[in-house]
Amino acid sequence: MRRPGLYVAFVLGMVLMLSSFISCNWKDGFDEFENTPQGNFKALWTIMDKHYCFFDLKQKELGVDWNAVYNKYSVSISDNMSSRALFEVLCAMIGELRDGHVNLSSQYDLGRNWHWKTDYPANFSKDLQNKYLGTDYSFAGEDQYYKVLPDNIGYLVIESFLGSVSASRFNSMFNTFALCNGLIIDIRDNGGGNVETAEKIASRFTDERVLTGYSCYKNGPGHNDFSKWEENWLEPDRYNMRWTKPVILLTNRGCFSSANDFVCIMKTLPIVTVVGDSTGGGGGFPFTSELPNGWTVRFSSAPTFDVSKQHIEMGIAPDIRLDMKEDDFKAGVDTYIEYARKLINDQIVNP
Amino acid sequence: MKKTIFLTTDSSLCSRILSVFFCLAFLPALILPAAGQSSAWELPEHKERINAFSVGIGKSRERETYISELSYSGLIGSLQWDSWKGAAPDGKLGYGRTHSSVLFGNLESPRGSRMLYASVDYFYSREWSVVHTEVSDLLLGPSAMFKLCGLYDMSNSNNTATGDGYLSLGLCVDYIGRFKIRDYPLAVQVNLFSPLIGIAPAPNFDQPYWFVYKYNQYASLIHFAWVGNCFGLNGQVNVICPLLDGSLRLGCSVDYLGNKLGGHLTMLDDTWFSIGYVHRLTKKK
Repeated sequence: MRRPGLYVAFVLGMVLMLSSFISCNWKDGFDEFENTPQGNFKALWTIMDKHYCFFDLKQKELGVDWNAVYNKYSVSISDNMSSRALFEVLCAMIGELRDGHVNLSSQYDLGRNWHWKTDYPANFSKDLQNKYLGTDYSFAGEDQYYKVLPDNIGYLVIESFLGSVSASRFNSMFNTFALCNGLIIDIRDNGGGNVETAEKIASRFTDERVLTGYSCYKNGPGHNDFSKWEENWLEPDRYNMRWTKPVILLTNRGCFSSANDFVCIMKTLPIVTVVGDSTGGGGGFPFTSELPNGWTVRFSSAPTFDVSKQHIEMGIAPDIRLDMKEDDFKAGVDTYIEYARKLINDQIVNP
Repeated sequence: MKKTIFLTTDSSLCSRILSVFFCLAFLPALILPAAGQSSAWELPEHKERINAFSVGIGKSRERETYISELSYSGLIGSLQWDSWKGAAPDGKLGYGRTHSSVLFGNLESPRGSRMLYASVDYFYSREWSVVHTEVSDLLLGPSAMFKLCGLYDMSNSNNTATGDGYLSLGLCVDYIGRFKIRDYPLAVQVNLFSPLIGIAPAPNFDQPYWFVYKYNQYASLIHFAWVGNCFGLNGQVNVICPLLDGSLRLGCSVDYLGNKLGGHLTMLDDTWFSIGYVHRLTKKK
C-alpha cells in the first residue's frame, strides 16, 4: 500500500463519474433568463405558460390565445426601452387574462386588470350601507358587523375574510338574532381573504355535511396538467350555535376570491338565497414567482369548481338577479337590502 | 430562451470541488513522510471516541422553482460536529462515524429580494478500514443519512416556504493522510457522504400547502429518491494540527443537494470554511 492516495483517487473518481453520469440524465433544466427587457418578458410569459391554470377557460370565455399574446406583445419589447415602459407592456400582457389574481408587483405600481369588476354596475354604496348599520352596530369579528333591522331581520356585513372567526362573538350574534325572522348577509365588495374563514362562517349555516365543490392544482407545466379533483365538503360546526332560518346573501361584482368561494359554498345550502349581481370570480388559488429584475408575479394555479363541476373563476350567478335602482339611491334606500327584507318577510311573515 | 441542463453547471461545480479534494488527498501521499512519525491523527481504538466541533462561515447558493425562478445567494453560518468511535477488537462492526451540521443564512436574489435558509443534517455510518498504512487510512462504509433544509421567501404571498432534503441510505468515505512539515505532525482528513436511495420531501409542482393540509395529502409530499432524481453530496477537507490536549481543525466543507422531485427543480449548494477543536476521549477500563 505505498500509494494509498491512488485508492482515494479511485473512489473520488467514481463519485465524479457518477455525478457526470447523473448530469447527462437530467432532461429538464432551469429556465435561464437574463435581466433585460427581452429576458424579463420571456420569463413572465414562460412562468404564466407553465403555471397559470385557466388558459383553456380564458380561451373559451375571452378568446385568449397565450401564444398569440406572446406575438402581440413581443414586438413592443426592445433592449433600450425604459423599465417603466417594460412594466406597462408586461402589465398589459397579463391583463389579457382578466384575472384579479394575476398581478405584477414592481417598485412603480401593482399591475392588474380589474375590468371583471369595473366594467359592471357597482350595485353597492358604502354610504347607504352605513345608513342601515347606523353607529350602534356590533362586531362579530374583524371586518364583520351586525345589527337587527327594524322589521326584526338580522343584518350581517362581512367586508372581508382576512380576519379570523370569533366563535364566541358569532354565538353572541346568533343570540341577538334569535328572534329574528331571517338573516341578510351582505358581502358586496368583499375582495376575499382567507378561504378558511369563509368556510368557518359557512359551517354555521348547515346541520349536515354538504358537498360544495371540487378543487385541484397544476401538477405539471402543460396547460392541462392537473391533479385529480378533490371533493370540498362543508362540515357543520357541531360545537357552536348554527343558524337554520332563511338567509339572503347579497352579492355584487366586487365579491372576489374567498368571497367567491363563500358564495359557492353558501349557494349549496337550502336555507340560502343569493340575491344581486354575479360575483367577480377569482376561483384560483394564487401562487407567486419572480422575474429576473425582482418584480413579483402572482397568478392562479389551483382552480376551484362548484358542485356541478363548473368553473367559478368567471363569477357565480345569483339565484335572483337584481340591480340597484337610481331612484332608490337618490332616496337613500338600498335596493338590495330592501329587496332582501321583503323576501324574508314574504317567506316568513306573510308566506 | 436559453436552457441550461440542470446539474451541468452543478456537475462542473462538483468537479471543481472534487478536484480540490483530489489535490488535498494526494498531498500526503506525494509528500511521503518518514515512517514512524508521531501522528496528528490516528483512528480511535476500541472504547475510544474522537469528537470534533467546528464553527464556520461560508456561502450558499439556492434555487428552488417551487417558490421562485431566481437564484439566491448569501452568507451562511455553520455549526458542525463529527465523531469517530473505535472498532471492536474483532472489527466486525467497523468504526462508528457520525456527522451533523446546522447551517443558517439570509440569502438575497440579484435584485434584492430575500430568503431565509436553514438546514440540519445527521449522518450515521459504519466504516471499515480498506487501506491502513503508517501514513494513511482509507475507510468506507454504508451510511444512514437525514437532511432537511427549509427555505422561506420573504416576498412571496402564498407559496412562501418549502422544504427539501432526504432520508436515505448512502455511502461514506473517509481518508486520513498523515504527514509532517519539519517536525510538526499534521493530518489531512477528507470525508464524503453521498445518499444513494431513500425518500425525500417535495410538494408536487404547484401543490399548495393548504391543499396538503385540507385534503390530508401528506403522503403525496414523500417521494422515492435515488441518485437519478435526487443527488446529494456532503464533503469536507480538514487539516488537523495538534494543539494542547487535542487538535485544531481547519476545514472546508461543501454540501450539495439537487433534485427534480415533484416536477420542480431544486439546487442547494453550500460551501463554508470552519475552525474547530478535535478531542480524543478514552473510556476508563
